[in-house]
Amino acid sequence: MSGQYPPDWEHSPHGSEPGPSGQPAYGQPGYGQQPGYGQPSGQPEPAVPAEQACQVTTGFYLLSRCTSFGVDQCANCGRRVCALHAISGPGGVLCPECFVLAGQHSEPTDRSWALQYRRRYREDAGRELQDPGIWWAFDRYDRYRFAAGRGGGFGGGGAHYYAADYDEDDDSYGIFDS
Amino acid sequence: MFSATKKKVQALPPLHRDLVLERTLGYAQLPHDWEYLLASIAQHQAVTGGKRKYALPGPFLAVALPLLRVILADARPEAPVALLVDDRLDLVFGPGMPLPDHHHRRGIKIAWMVQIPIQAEARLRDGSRLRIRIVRRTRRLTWRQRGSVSHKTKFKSKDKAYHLLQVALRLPRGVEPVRPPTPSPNWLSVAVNPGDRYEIRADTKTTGDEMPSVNLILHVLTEAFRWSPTARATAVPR
Repeated sequence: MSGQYPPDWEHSPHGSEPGPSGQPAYGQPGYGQQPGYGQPSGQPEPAVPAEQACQVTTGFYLLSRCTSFGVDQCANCGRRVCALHAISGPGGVLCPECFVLAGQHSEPTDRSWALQYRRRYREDAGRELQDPGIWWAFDRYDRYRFAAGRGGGFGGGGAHYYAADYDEDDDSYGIFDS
Repeated sequence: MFSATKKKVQALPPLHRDLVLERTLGYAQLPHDWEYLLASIAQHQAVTGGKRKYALPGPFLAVALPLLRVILADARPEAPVALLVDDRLDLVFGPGMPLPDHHHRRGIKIAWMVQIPIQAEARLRDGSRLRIRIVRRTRRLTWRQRGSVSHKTKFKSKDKAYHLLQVALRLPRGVEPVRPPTPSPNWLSVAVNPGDRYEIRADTKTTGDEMPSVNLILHVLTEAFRWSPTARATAVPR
């Protein structure tokens, strides 16, 4: 496919322009070190202390923690969010989960669309495939904090919700309960 | 010579431009680099002014774009993600073959056409490799019939299409699949192929001209991931 492009496009289909958010282009210093995608192998991980790291759960099927530096705080749940996961919504900066909870939605061209769609999809897939494990792969915070009508919801509570209002030993509080 | 819109379309990034003008896209690049294309596509409506002539292919918008987002969310940052989208509707059938003799209508010829509208491949963060393929197969029956009154000879044909959804998840070396607690639904088939690395295949079929929905494709993907021990594990607790 590369042969059909002019010489300056040969190595990158995007030319030497900076990225959509001013990130380095192909062949430029800093290329490949992008927030939200982690660090390429062989390079040291950035030393972001746990208390300053973004607290958003990343991935669609393979859930993990975001390792980027938290630059802001979600106006609803109070989690720290990095530049990638901070979305402007009603009431200020929101994390992707609270953005959906506030009744907002974005297009698949948006970088955090997969995280916004993940919760709804996992609920659907858990019912369709009759496997609660699809839903239970979320940790306790993600399972209950953002469940509308379950004490989570938009505009109620903060990060203390998990520790203060929820019984650690009660595992019977899920969407599959009748 | 060119209209203002066409000039803008010609100035789009090459992948975006190919998608609009050639109705096809086939490329492998790093997850971060796909963001250039997606950022450009986000501006598509503003660039083309919503002209139908320059509309993006339907299968790309409805299926490939959300699918790419899901793949990028789990892809390794330093490994390329490959995507193929083909919306060219050139129906090129293979040679027509007569139906078997036992068919109730004689003189019918059958021909097949195989297209791959969407295909994607990626290496994931846990070391596994994911391949998704949507295959569209169209069957064309052709026959000749002669009017009983006019004795005119007419050539008739009838098409029928179905889509195959094929997902293959190759687990990392040394990782064994975990049997899910509930059986897979009866509308999809799952096979675990042992070997140097375990490979989980989940396939299903849908009939009709319509491309399968994103949720259906994700369900097939989910079925494959149900066998992956990494995907079943809870994210590291805070």
